[in-house]
Amino acid sequence: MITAGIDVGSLSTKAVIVADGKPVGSGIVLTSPDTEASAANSMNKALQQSGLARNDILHVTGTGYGRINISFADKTTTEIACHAKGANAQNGLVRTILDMGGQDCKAIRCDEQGRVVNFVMNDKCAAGTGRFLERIADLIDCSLEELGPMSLQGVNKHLPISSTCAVFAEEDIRKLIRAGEDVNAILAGAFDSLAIRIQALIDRVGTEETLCFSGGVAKNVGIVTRLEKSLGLKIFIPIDPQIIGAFGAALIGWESMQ
Amino acid sequence: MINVGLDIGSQFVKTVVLKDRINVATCVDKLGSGSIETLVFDNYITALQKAGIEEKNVDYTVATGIGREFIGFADIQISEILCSTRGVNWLPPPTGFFLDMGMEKAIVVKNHDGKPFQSFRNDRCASGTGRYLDIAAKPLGLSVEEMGEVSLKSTKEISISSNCAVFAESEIISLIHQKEKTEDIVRAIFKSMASKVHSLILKMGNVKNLTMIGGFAKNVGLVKAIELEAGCEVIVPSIIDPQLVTALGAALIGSENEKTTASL
Repeated sequence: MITAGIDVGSLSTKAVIVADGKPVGSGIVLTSPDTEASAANSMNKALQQSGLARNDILHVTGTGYGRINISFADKTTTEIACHAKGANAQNGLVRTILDMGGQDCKAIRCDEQGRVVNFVMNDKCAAGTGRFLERIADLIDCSLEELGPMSLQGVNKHLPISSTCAVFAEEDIRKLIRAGEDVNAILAGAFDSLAIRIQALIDRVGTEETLCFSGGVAKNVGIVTRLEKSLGLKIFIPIDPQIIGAFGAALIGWESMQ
Repeated sequence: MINVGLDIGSQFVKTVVLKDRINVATCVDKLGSGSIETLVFDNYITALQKAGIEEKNVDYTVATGIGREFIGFADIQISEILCSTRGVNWLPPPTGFFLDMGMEKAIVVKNHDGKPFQSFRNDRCASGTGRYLDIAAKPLGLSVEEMGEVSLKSTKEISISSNCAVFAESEIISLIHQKEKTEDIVRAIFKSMASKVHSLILKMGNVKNLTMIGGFAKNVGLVKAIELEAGCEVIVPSIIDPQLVTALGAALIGSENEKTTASL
C-alpha cells in the first residue's frame, strides 16, 4: 500500500512517499507564500523520484506549520507525532528526538513504538533555534555549512556570548569582532551558547538509549559534536534529517489505513 | 563647588557639569569604535569647555552606567540605579516610580526619597528594550525618532504576536508585504513594547503615575503607547533632557559625597 506525508515547514516543504512502510521517494522545495502550491510541488518531486503516479497514492497525511492549507490531504497530524514516528522507524532504539528547524526547537520523548510520551518546545525565542545560526552566518559573512567546521577549530579559548537572547548574543559577537578576536574562537563561543540552550531543552524530557537529531540543523557538525560531548552519548542522525517529519506522517497514514 | 557626572551607556556617553548644584553644561556623544576611555574623556572635556571650567577645578567626578569601570579618571564609580533614582528625585513633579529605558535595558524602580526601594528589569532579553525598536525600525526604513511621530497617524489597530525581537522582525516584514500601512505597523510595534513595560509595572503593584527617563522617553509614540497599555500617567522630564537624568544623579551624589567628606 502506498501513502504519502507532507511536512509544510516555515522554510521548506517536504514530501515522502512510502510503500508498505518503506520510503520510495522524497522531495524538498522552499515554502512559498502559497503553501498549497508548495505542498503540491514537493509531492510532484517525490512522485518523480519514486516513478509513481498521483493515483497510486491512497492516503496523504499533512503535518507542519502549514498543514491546514493542504486541501488534498486526507488527514493532518502534529509534527511532534510525525517526528517521533519517523525517527523511531528509522532506528528502533530511538527514545528521544531533537528536532531543530529554522524557527523552533523541540525535544520529544517517545516509547518503543514511536508514540509521543512527552515533549517541550521553544518557538518563542530565537536564541536556541536555527535562526540564531542564520543570523551569525550573516554577521560574519559566511555560509551556514561553513559555520560548523569553523566552530570546531576555535575551541581553545572560551569567549563569553549570551545564551539568553539572540540579539544580545549578536552584540557580544560584534564586540568580539571589533576587539580583534579570531572568528573561529568567536564561533566556538556562539556554538557553546547555543548548545547550552538545546541541552536545557533535552534535559527537560530526559534521554535513554539513543537520541535522534532531525531537522536542518542536524546537518551542522558543530552542534552535533558539542551535544554528543555534553550528553555523553552518540547521536543518531538520519541520512536525510530534514524529511523525518514527512516520513513519519506517511507512516501514520499507512497505519491508519490498516 | 564643581561636580561632574558621567553616564556611560551601551550607545551614548553623557556628561553633566554642576556648579554649586546648578546644571551649567551637558554633553552627549555617541560611542563609536575606539577606546571608550578616550571617547568619554573627550566628552568630559567638551562639557567642561562649554561650562568655561578648567579640569583642575573639578572637585569630584562620578562615573556610572554599564561602562563605568573603564573610566579610570573618575573619583568613584557608582551603580546606575543609585544615580538614576537620585536624578529622578531632583526632578519636578515628585513621583513614586520611574521607568528607565535604554538601548539594552528597561527597568522600573520604586523611588523612596532618592533611594531605590524596589526594582524590576528585563530578563537579559532584547524584547521590551530600546534594541527592539532599533531592530523593528530597520525594515520600515525609519529612524527610531521618526517612528514616534509616524505612529500618531495610525488609524488601524494591528498586532504583533512575537515577543522575541528576532521573530518580530520577520513578522514586521510580512506585515509590510501584506501592504499594512507604515503608521499602523509602527503603532503595533510600540504597543508590543508597551505591553512588556506594562508587565514590569504590574510587578510593582499600584502605579498611578511614573516618570520616564532614558533616551527613549523622548519618543512620543512610545510614551503614549505605555500610557494606554499600563493605564497610568507617564511624566517625561521637561527641565532636562531625559537621557541626562542618570548623569545628573551621578553629579548630585558626588556633590553630597564631597559635603560629607568636608564635614568629617
